[in-house]
Amino acid sequence: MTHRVADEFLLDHAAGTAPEPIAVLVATHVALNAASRRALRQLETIGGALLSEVAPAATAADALERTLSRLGPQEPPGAAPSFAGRLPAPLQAYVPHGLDALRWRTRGRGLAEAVLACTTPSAYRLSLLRMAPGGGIPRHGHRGPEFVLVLSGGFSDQRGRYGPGDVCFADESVEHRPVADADGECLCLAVTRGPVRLKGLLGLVLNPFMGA
Amino acid sequence: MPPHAAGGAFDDAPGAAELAADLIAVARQADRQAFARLFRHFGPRVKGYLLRLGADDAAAEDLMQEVMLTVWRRAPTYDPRIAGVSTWVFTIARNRRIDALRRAPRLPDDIDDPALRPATAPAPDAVAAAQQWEQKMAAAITALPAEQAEMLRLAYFDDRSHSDIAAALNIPLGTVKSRLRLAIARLRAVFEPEDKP
Repeated sequence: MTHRVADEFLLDHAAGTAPEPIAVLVATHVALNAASRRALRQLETIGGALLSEVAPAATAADALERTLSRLGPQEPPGAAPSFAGRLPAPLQAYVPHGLDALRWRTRGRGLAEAVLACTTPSAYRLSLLRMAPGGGIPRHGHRGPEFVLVLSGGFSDQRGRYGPGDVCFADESVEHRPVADADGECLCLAVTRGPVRLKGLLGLVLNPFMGA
Repeated sequence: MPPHAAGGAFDDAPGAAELAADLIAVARQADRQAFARLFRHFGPRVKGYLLRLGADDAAAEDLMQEVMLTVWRRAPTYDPRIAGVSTWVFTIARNRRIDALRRAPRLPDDIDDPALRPATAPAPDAVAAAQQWEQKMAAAITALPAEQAEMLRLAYFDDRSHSDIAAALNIPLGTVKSRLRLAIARLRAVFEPEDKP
């Protein structure tokens, strides 16, 4: 069973109105999940149909002439950047020098986080999480949506198991404790919003970081 | 008569098949006349889309020309099995607008890894299928109940969150979400043949 992003978020992504951290996570998920890719394409087809019915706006008198004068070489088919290396294409620009060059901070036993820089302000934060085998995130609640997308390895919470390409979504109604598979490291992309309400003693250690 | 032909503005609009033929001519022969036809059709609509999303006239004009330059440059990478021409141009316009807002590294325009695509030439019926989806989609949108169609246009053309839309229309957030869900469920039916295994 795969865990996909809800239509609501695919729609914002198709429309281009999602906050940057969510857009990056959804684009990465879509790159890894064929069913979400097909769902996104359908929503983009709605965008294409709506574009056809937009009231045409007057363009500059010399718009066509100027554009024609700027036409340059064309890209050969298939020349677009590919999934080079370990990371899906939508993520590469946010990890330009590779995973090891990021500033990893320990968030407790078996968990490290590297915050990825976004260029537009939003209430969300985008980060990579590295869970050691059997490690994970202490039990916590949520004050807003939280997305954790598995890039490699896997983890489980009380609702199921998440493998590469799966998104674990949680909101105010969910309290959970993701635990990484025992047989290897789990690398995830996460979007969190506001301070995460952590439970227990470990939570006290983690809270200042998760709440930044 | 197509449902939206009565407005007048679309009377001389080329059909989906002509747009696809022009884009393929741009891709294969770097055909500048075909590009000019695409420009006359899409330029004013892309600019209208950008204005609708809040760009001022000068910014919308510049960005529209950037979008059309991208159409020229990336035409050979267009895969007619994946998207109709309007859908493809829409995604480029959407991505260039986001790039401009983010002042960040460019978004990849392909949601597929090109390396994973079949290398064989697309079958003619697959090409026709993508164009037909667009036309069926346009008809399905005009057939939506008015309040669902309004919500859909706000979702695509207003850079506002669902809760801001709810506040502006003075309706509950749940109503915004349920209207969008209903609209999308109806529009998805257009793709049902594709979704059957």
